Amino acid sequence: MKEKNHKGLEDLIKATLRDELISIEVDDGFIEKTLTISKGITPSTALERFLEREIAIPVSFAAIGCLLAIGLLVNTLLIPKELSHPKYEIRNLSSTITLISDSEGIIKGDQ
Amino acid sequence: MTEARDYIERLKNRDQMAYRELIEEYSNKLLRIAYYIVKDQEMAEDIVQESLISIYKNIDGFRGDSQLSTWLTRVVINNAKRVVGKKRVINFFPLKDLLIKDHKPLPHEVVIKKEKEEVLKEILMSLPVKYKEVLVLYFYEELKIKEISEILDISESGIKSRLKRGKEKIRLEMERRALNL
Repeated sequence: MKEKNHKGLEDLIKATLRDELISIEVDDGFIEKTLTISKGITPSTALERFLEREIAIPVSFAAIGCLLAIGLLVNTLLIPKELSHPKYEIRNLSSTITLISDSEGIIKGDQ
Repeated sequence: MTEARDYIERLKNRDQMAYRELIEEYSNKLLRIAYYIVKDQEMAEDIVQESLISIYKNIDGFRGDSQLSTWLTRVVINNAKRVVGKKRVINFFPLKDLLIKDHKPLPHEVVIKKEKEEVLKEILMSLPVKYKEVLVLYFYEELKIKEISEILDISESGIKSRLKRGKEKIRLEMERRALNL
């Protein structure tokens, strides 16, 4: 039954594609137009063909590249464990407000 | 074999007659493949023309490892895929195509058959390109798995798997629309 269904589907696909595509044809001027265009075309040189060639990068190389890129990205996102201490301490040198407590007689500075 | 080699030599020597023969022989076949992928005749014609010119320009680089038709089909499919990738092709089915043109009452079975064909046409046209390219070469061009594998540069098992998945997708979609085979 399943076999029969498969065969039925395949036949239906074939028939549908045939019906759909049979009417698709190039128009009358297509051949002449293509021939005319081709007359003005200069054949590509060996160098041009070489430069146009697609370079296929093997998957393993691409995977290594991706891993390296991810590694670098993650590395930049990590919080550094040790921050170097500055050599000199920056102190607030602005004028401090000094208050004199009348009751205690102690001079209080802005600490 | 010698004939084919001679023909390629003529093409390499820019023999205009040979080039005309090539266009006459392959234009319609290539146009149908391109049309099935891009779903637009004008766009498909541009793709075929561009591919034929590219073949003319680069024929010197053809080593003859595969058949000329394999090379041509590969170039057209690659160009069609590039166009589909660039421009989102809208699934467009003219309403008149979906309506039954004959208004006379039809026998029930004929109506069902007609409906099934229309739905299948719609499903076939809206499949992803990776299934379409395999289906059109296998069912329309009636090429062997090995030949399709050469054209698409995919392993034979990959082609078989795409064929199987493509058919499965069609079957499920038909079932979803309550149309049993």
